[in-house]
Amino acid sequence: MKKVFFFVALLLLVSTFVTAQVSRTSGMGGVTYSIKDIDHSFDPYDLGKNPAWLALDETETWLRILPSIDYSNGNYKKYYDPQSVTNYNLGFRGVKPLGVDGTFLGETYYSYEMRRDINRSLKYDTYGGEAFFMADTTQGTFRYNGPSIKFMYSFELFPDLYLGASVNYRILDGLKNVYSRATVLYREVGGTVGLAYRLSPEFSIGLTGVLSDDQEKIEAKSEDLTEVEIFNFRGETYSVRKRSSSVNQTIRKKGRGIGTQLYYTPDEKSEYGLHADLFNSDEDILIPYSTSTQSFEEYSEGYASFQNYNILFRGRYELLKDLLLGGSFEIHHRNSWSKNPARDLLLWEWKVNSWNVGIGASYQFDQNLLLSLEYEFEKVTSDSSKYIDSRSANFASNNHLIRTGIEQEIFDNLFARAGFNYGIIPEDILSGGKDVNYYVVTLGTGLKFNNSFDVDLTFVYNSYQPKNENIKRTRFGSFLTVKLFSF
Amino acid sequence: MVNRKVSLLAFAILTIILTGCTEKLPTTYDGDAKIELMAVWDTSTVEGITTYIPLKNAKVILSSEYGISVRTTDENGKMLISGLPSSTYSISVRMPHPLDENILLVGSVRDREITTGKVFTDTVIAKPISSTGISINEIYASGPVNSIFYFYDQFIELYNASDSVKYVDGMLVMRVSGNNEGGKGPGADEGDDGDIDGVTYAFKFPGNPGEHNYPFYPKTFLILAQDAVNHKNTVSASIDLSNASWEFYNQFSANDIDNPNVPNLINVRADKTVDFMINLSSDVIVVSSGVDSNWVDGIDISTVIDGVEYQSSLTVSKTIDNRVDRGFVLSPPKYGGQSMQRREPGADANDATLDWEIIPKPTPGYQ
Repeated sequence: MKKVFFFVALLLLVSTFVTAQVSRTSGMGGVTYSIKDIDHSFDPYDLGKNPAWLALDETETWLRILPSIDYSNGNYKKYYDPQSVTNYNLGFRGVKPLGVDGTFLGETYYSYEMRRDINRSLKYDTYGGEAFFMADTTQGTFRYNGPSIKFMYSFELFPDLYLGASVNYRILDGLKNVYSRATVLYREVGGTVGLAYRLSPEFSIGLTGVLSDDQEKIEAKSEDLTEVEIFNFRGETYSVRKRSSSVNQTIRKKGRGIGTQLYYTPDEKSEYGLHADLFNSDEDILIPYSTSTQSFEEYSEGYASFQNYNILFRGRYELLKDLLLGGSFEIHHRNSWSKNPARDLLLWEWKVNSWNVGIGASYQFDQNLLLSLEYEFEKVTSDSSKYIDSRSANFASNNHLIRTGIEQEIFDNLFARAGFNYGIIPEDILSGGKDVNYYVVTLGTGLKFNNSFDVDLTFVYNSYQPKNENIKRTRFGSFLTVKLFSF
Repeated sequence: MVNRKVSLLAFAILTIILTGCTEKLPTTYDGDAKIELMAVWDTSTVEGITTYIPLKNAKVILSSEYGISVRTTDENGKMLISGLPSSTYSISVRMPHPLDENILLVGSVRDREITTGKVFTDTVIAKPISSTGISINEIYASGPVNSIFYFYDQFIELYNASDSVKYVDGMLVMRVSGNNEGGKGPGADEGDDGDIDGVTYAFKFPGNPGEHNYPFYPKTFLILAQDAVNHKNTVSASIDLSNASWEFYNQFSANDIDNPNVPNLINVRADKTVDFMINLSSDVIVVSSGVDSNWVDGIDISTVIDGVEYQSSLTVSKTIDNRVDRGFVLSPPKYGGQSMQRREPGADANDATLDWEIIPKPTPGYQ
């Protein structure tokens, strides 16, 4: 037992990466639909995040301990993005089936995030698609930290009809290290209600409704004698200056959406899932306002609207005993626009459409070796009209991605994993690079201790670099998952 | 049946959620306003015919909520700017007279609503402003970069733009920050009786108006220092005012600094026992001839030589009377070490919004 604890402690010490989600497939280069994995089913819970299906998806009691570190750095970035981001997380996620009373899931994380050398912007995410952001005059480092919690519950309301709900809450406290020494209070609240109905043992449908209410409050308050001078940008060129001993702004974003899922398992050899969702949100930029005759009140400095829809299809088919084929098809649409509410004038409009098709296969060479290969083609079009900046751009990009993954059982219950991705993005609509080549290298290991607990450790390294340019962005990290089956 | 009801209810709720409030996409977009400006100046009328001459390569100052930008006219006195956002703009065109540097040609239009999708066309007729007198040329109020609340290096700079020697005997320099409670505000003509009200500090040059003992030579500056000492000895980011022309000295104060080598302006209000300190980011400064020194009932506007209001925000209302100035200066931040100065020395078109600019550091005694 001492050896076991030593091994776990060693893994904890060397662990350096994030996203404590699906550790096994992450270690295999992120292959998803071409292998069978407990966390990559195509059911309404895994594919569509439908909480109603939790009672069917999770039938065992477990607790996961999820420490992780993630570090990205590089000058291939947008103007107001940080030079580097370091993210430390510690999370706990547990599931408790309650028999006929349903299934309960609880999750909590604590995050510490350091975003170094952000140029002027005081907003957590400057490139969310809206034309507004608040800026001061310095380049500085933001430190954010805070907890998040999530609860989910699902039960069988009537025979074969499952009802589920989840609520999540996250709060982040941020502080800039230099003038204007801005403080940021970022808060997310959300909830999902889901229904799932098993029409037959092979065919099920699901329905979800989502609500979210996010708020980011930024306050630039001078700690010394200098007044803070803040620029409320409308677009990238024009800004309105505000100056005082304290200047603040509240960004309030409310979203709502619906989703639907179809899940079909005609036999043990095949599985198909379809998910479609529609999510709209509205964002208001609120600032205090006063004149010599009016007292302070909240005033809408900017308004932004977001419309998104997504369609995902996944299929998997066991062609031969050891040969599994998989495929995916996705459609994504995102439309956002921003206006000056005082004048009802459109400032920005941005549409991004993409579709993605992927095929893959995995082969179990013998009892111990699994090899997987996936290829994806993605077509992305972007139409951006920044009216107030007198700038418009249209992009189309045909992206290619190859993923490979391998898993070998070295000894009994000890697995070694590795993966490699190579991708080409002719037009990177997010960061603006051309002919971007990127690759991802992953290494992982997994250890099963009888029925007591599993340990998975994954390392990831990736690099993005536009061709013929001396800029790039790299990311390195690791994540550890300790899954306890009894506690 | 129950399942159906539940499903229908859930569907109804989700539909309500999804169709919740979303504002409509505007039909007009911003950033497409145009300004076509023709700038001319009037020379003379001969036999009923007025001759207009284009203002070639003149400076054009655009002021709006988005700040101030400076452009120039072309060889024909024209300027075309496109791609502007909708806003309320003030425009000033100015250039030195081609033959007489003492004359500034200034024309302006104020508070014009310029709308996207439309072309604002106007002809600005500049008038010659002869810089014939004394004006406030620079106000350094913000204080240097420091952490000890140090702002005692404030100064006011005057400029004699005329070609003749002026005399400052008996002139008053005032801070006008009263007349707030129930009044129209500092520098306004309360009661419409032809004077400006709200004088809180008044300091006086020696002598009496009309006397000729204290000359102010043409094309020179006078620095009126709060304390005429080398402030760098206290705050390294500050300035040396030990060679200032004049120093404010409150003879009713027990501890006001007095540099014996610099002549004093003295306090005329016995109820004020502190030095001539002005607000770091918003105030009204007035210089008058001193003929009317009865500050209690207001200073007669006809005796005002110059007055300037500065404010920290564009959203506040201007209070100084329009006959003294039609605008106000947007001041720099407190303790930032920046100063406010006229764009051209002594050039006073009575519109501080366009006449003044923020400069990165104070320039006592020079432009």
